[in-house]
Amino acid sequence: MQIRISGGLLASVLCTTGLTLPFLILPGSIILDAGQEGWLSILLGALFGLAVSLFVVWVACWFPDRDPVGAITRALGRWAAFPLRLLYGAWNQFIFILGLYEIQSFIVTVMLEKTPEWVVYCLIVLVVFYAVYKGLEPVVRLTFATILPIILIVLLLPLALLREFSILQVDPFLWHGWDGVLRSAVKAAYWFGDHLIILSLVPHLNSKVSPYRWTIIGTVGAALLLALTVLLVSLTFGSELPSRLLYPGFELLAIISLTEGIERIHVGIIVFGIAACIAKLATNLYAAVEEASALLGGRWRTAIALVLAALGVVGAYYFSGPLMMADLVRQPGWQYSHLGAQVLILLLLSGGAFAAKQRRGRTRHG
Amino acid sequence: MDQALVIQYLRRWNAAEADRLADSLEACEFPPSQDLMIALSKAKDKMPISPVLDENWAVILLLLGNSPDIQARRLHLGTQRIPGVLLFLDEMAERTQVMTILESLVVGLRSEQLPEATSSAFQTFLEQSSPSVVIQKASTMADLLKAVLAGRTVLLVDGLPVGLEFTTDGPTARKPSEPDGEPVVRGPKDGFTEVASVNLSLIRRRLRDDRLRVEELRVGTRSHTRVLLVYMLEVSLPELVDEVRQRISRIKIDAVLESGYIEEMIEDQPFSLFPQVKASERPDVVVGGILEGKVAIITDGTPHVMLVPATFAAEMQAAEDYYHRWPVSSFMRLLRYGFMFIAFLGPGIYIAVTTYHNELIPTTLLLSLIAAREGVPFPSMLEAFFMELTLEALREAGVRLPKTVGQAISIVGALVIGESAVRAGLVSPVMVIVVSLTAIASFLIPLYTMSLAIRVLRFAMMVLGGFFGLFGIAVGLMLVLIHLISLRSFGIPYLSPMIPATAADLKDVFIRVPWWAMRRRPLFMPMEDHQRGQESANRPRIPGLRR
Repeated sequence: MQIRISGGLLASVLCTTGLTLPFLILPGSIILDAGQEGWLSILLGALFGLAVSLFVVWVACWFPDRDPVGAITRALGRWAAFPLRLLYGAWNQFIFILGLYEIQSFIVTVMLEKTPEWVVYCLIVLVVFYAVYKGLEPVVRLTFATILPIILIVLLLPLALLREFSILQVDPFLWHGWDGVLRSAVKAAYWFGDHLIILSLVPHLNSKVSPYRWTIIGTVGAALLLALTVLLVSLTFGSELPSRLLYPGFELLAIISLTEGIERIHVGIIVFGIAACIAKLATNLYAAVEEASALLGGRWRTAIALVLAALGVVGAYYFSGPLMMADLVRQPGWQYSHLGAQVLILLLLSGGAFAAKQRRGRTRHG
Repeated sequence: MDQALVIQYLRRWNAAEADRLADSLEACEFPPSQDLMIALSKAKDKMPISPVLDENWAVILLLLGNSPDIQARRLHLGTQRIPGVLLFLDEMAERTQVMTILESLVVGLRSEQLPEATSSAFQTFLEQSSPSVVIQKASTMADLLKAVLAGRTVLLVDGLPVGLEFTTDGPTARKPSEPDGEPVVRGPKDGFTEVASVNLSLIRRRLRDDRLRVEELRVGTRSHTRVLLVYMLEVSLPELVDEVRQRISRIKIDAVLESGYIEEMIEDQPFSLFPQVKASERPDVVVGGILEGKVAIITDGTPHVMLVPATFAAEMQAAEDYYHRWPVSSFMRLLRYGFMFIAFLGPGIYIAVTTYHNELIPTTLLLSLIAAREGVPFPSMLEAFFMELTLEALREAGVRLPKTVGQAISIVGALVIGESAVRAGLVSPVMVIVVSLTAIASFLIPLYTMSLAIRVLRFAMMVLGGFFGLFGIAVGLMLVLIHLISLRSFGIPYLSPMIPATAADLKDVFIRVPWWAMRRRPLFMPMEDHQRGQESANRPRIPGLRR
């Protein structure tokens, strides 16, 4: 039975993709270059994510079942879709490993200092594997269930931090100039490029639902919430301190003090963030497993999921050094190669889909 | 028992199998060997009723192993004094009904000229002169034995190649009383009993609709347990009814002694801790379920009637929610959900916070906690395990022991052991509070099987909280959530109508809106007719207020 997902679920996946991991990693790096206009960089970077996701939806809508990769396979043969599936699957697996490393290092740094890394990896992968094993529906519903508290928390953050804002910390507009803003926008763009995950979701979208509307809601929603977070970080900590903090978003939560008894609740709040990050990893692993399974003729899905999940643990554990170097925020070389991979996937997709469309048209008229 | 008559019967049957059996019987001594008895029992489906009364009687006695509870009343019918025998099982058939039948046959027909026993007019005559409500014919020994074992009375008449079954199966049943497991302050006080027909009548009394459908199935190759499927035409989806019927028909087991047997064999996910069937002892709950398109499964021998499909939200609803004022019921619902989380996560979060995340505790409270834990030699996790396991043991002991002693043991045990453990420095007073709160919270869950699932999962959450803090709790919660999301009960998502969300159905999940606002039956349940009532008609009109 083909699983159909609603527009809300699609938007929740996009929102999870654009908000969760970047919330942990991005703010410090963004503010470093863009200063207090980091929120503007986020919005500019999100434009790339919006373009990527809308482009995929546009290509998908050429076909009645909104499955461009399937259409390429049917029209041009299995091998025509091979490079696209391979690259898209590998890219998702890489994001999965990278995300796994980032979440693990966050947990070990701020919550479980004495717990061995591999134990944390295994626990995360256990959840991710179980969700992927159960199929698309649990994966997307999990993102929906975990992103709702995050949205609520981010929306309530300004109220909780109202006493912490200081007018003295506000810099003149564009203090770091457009150059810094644009450099940071490029950093944000790579993360919003993760919205490419929509390629795995749009074929399952309910046919009565407008994919454009929900894609825009998901992407713009994530961008606005992340921009709000970055703005709050800069308003609270100024434009210098965040770049020296490892996790400025987390530190922001740490200073929340609602009353005398309710303070230092950051760990309690960030657990929701960790849950949402794990849900995001599940979407990446799901996409990688689906592509790998399709490459192997649609068989051994469970075995592939197990292998890729295990590879994720091994990769993140043994290559944690290189992965840190490959951190998309810190290394320009990796940043551009990541962007290149995203663009290449889009090119392969559009080229293949166009050829498939042409072939379909010729067959119909012939 | 006359073995010669049995052999004579088998020879008269005139079949190769019967001849073999007769030869074996002739060759063996009385009583026949176990193998021979099994062979005879297997052949009973094909054994016809003999026109010779004594042969039938001998075969029946042999097949029932000369059981002491089988009763036979010999009689002579009509002016021709045709010999007959009335068979029934002691205490299975209701004696007054047997007496009435006997009276009508012996006294009522004493001066009647009966038709020939071999004629069809004879059967009709007997049927019309009997006071029994239902009369059926048994044409094989298997049918005849089934009837007798089910509590019916069978009349065998010399020369008649069929047995006449009279309905007398009215076994002693307790009166419908308030179920111990689901008491209410406001609401009906009757509950299901162990007799399926009584349970059906309790449903019928509440649903006087000709569209109520009842189907009978027999489950258990030895117990032949009566199982009734009850559903409402137009409301229950035919595919759902078919699915339930098929799943029950597939069951191959020797005996079904309680509905739990069936539950485990028809559920979608056999390895889940969560109940995928809602069992209730309350007719009002079951009728409510039938009106929402569910199928009720009544199993003879148990007061627990099952409703399928089941959802998490339905299992968190109590009967009383619908009888009290809706704002009060809504408050109770919210309270129930809140305390369900305490029952599930309370000790786990306590362990996680005291072990890993002390900063979450307000400073003054933290100081009190440290003071209270001073002298306790064990880590929080062991402390919690000790207390929780003791509590579970006390609860189990309270259920197993006789009622009066059980209550005393539970209360005394909880008080004495808790107090003594604190004084001995084994546990801290705070832990006693946490465990007590958890115990109270678990009693707020209306469905006992759901409460059991949460109690078991609580231990897993304690381990995760003890080893990995709040991260472990999050991992556990996500695993449970994934499991619940993928769980189905007869094809219906278990978390409906929360996930997938059906906005219109949320009016009867965390809160309950007034009855007049519940115009439609749950939309997540596929059915032909979702209309329950009309808001405009049911909404109370305030006198003097123009709308």
